[in-house]
Amino acid sequence: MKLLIVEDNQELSRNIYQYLLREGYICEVSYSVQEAEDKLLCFPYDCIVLDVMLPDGNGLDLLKFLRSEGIDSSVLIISAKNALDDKILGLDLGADDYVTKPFHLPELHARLKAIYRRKILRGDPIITCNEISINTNTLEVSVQDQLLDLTKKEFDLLLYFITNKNRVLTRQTIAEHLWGDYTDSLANFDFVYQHVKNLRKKITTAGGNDYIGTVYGLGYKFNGNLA
Amino acid sequence: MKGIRLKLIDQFTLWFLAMTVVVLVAGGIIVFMSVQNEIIREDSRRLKDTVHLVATRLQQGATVDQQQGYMVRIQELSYLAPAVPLHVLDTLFWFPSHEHYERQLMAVASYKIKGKHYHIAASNLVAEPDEIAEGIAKSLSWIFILLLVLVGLLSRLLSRKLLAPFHETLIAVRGFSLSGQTPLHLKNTQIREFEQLNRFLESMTQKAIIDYKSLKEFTENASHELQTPLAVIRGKLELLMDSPITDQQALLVQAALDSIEKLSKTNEALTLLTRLDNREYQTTESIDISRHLSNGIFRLQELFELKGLLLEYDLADNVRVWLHPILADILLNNLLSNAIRHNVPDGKVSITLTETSLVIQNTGLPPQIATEQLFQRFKKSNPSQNSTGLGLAIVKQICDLNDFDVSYLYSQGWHRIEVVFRRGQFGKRGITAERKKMFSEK
Repeated sequence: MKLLIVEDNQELSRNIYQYLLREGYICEVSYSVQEAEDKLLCFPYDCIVLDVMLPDGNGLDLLKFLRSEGIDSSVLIISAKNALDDKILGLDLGADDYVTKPFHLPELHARLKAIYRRKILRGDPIITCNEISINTNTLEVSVQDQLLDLTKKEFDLLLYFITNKNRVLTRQTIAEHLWGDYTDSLANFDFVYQHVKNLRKKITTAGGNDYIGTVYGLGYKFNGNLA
Repeated sequence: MKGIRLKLIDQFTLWFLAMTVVVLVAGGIIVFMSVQNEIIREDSRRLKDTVHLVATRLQQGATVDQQQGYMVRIQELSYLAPAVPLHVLDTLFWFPSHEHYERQLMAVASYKIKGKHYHIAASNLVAEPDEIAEGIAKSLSWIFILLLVLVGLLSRLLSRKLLAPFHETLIAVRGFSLSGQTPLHLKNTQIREFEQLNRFLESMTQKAIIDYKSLKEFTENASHELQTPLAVIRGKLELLMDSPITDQQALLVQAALDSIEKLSKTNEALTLLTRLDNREYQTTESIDISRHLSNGIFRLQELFELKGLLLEYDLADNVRVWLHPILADILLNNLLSNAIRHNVPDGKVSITLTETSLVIQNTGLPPQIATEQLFQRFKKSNPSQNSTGLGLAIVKQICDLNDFDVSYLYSQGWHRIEVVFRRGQFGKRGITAERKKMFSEK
């Protein structure tokens, strides 16, 4: 996937760049609207990660630019304002999704992957990881062709793990991914432990490898290279 | 003090009429005095003339008959009696046919003519003071009634015309909204006070809009300028996590991440409080709080189960409340989360929604500080708890903004938070009805 990161904070764009580089994405970075427009006119990008507040203008203006130039890139908005107006306006102007600062890098990645599946891999809902196969349309998971009985949350959790395999995922990022804005109430993360435990059990019972390992002090990691 | 609220024009009318009464009474007294004085002065002069005339006739030896309708009485006195100078008496006279006294003016004098001493008296009945007063009172009452009717009618007609610019201003002010971003533009009027009021309102709304914008910008900037570095730090730590680190380092990273999480949540909550203060969430419609509540419960269902809490609820259907939908979700989520977080193992939560109120009760440890204080910012019953301490402050703020009553009680192991929405709902309805009426009048 070819990606353009439009974010004026150099450290932040470097974070995103570094994180996504390991996933094998081709990333380029622009620090201003002007720079982004120049790049978009010259090269095709599958997806744009777009900050709303840029030094030389509003990121939302870039959405209008995309539309007027007929550029068919997907857009993920990074909004710091947490203002509802921006979210709605952005989605109305043709953005595909948004995350609010301070976002978790695995979350950003998961959102990008979801857009990628939806728009670029049009119609191919199957994700496989060794013996595990996930159908994102029917929300079915099978291990060695044996269907698993997963709850919605367990399904989301597995997808999140596989999207960010070989990465450490903290309980915090998992909780936020599963419960969204309502994590505030979940001061302790016992319930993450509960879900992870159930998921591991279901996969291993079906004959799959125990991919999900605990990382001391931090959280969990899906070890994709296990098999 | 709250008295009866009269319309401005009625106040004016009442004061004017009260003043009229005073003026009419005083005027009546003046009229009475001068009329009476004039009558007596004129009659006395004529009576004196008559006496004088009779004397002249007697001198000439002519016959004396009744003079100009006045009663004339001539008596002979002894010649040696002292002469009576011409003077006027104000006396009462017994009127036999009507059997009562009448007021009588009498001019009296004695003249010595041709060796005889005549005592001449000329008298006339005059109107009595009470008769004059009655006449004056009657005519003044008619004047008053005439004034009453005319002022009553005219003031109503005039006020509609004169107060029209004021009513227009009222309607404009009611329709004014800060988030609308357009200051009031009011028409010029010929009435100086209204013109002053309009110009004042215009400059005030302009200032309010500027204040609103700058505070809004401030929260946006504060949020952006704080959240971006937080995003950078969090990203760095997440990248660090993916590199080989020791267990000791992992703990340090986790602790740093926890603090970032808390900082970010606190910033978010404070921004929300400021935005609530700034009234950026304008309620434009009533919402079905029953639906919002059951969605909220559904969303958190899993947490109730994971925490082993027994949930009982009794929700009335279709309860409509005047509240912004986003605020409704924040309010309910904060209340429900509280009930979960501050519970005890195997505790209970009970939720009751009626047409007028929402009661959320949960079991929990006794609060360490007075329950009402928990609505204040950063007040926590248990300071070690990993929460921002702003949840209930936000609840309180939302309730205050929407005229809801919120109370927090603790008794016998139960925490009970009650939100009464009835008052705000009716208040808003009242205003809209009134506004509709004003528009239809227009």
